[in-house]
Amino acid sequence: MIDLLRCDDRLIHGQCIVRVIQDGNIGRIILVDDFTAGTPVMANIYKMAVPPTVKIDVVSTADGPSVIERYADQKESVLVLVKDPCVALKLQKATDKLPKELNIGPMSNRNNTKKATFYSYLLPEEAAACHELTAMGIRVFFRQVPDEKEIEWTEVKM
Amino acid sequence: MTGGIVISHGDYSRGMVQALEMIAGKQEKLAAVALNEGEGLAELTEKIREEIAGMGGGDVILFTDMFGATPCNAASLICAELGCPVAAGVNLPVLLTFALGREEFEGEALLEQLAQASKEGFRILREKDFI
Repeated sequence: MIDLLRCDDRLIHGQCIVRVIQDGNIGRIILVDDFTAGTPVMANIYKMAVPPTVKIDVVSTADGPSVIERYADQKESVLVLVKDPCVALKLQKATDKLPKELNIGPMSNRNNTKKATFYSYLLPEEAAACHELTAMGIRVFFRQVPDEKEIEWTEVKM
Repeated sequence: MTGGIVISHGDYSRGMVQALEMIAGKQEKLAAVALNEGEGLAELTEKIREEIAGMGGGDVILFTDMFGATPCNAASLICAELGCPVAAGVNLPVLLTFALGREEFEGEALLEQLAQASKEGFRILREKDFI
């Protein structure tokens, strides 16, 4: 089953490996990102970075929904990882197999971003995607690691 | 002489270079780069590129704090682009071996020394070892 839909612009990194994958007992990661899927070096870096017990699929946004549906009804715990809330929105619109939640983790401070939490900065279009997800009845919340206090999107004034 | 760049989450890299210099003395062609809160892969990769450019050519080894983490992912991108090898999971014994060995060794031979130092540099000592 799909346990978690997480948005994190560092995708697979220390925090994700040490806490999110281990605490969630994740057996498979579906990484949905057009840039990574289209850049073999980048895809290889992330494939190498995951622990050997975890399987990983790196797919484009267009292929994401069918891959998610392929693993949704299986027993293993699956993490769907995206780099920005706009991709999460596209996936939520394209398939009903995802949890009705979006967990936003660290998002770096880029050109034109606004601070949502001390570890998450969002572009205007990313904030707009969070509003649209909320309007669709999907809970959007910020949390870096599993046992941390969650911050609801509805509490963040953006 | 091979250059080195230590890349870490936060100031671990700077602290490690400072600790190294306490033991081995002031180092040339050895830089520290930090991934700070709010920064991502793109900024970190750019900072590493700048340090490499500042070293004015020659071999450079990229030391990172942990395999699979963002500093390692950024270094891996540079490795694929420029060929600089990555030494992931650096500790002080590895960095010391680098500082003391880079006059004599280079290329694969130097990397072998680092791998050996990493294996020998971590030990668990128990009370019974001393009695």
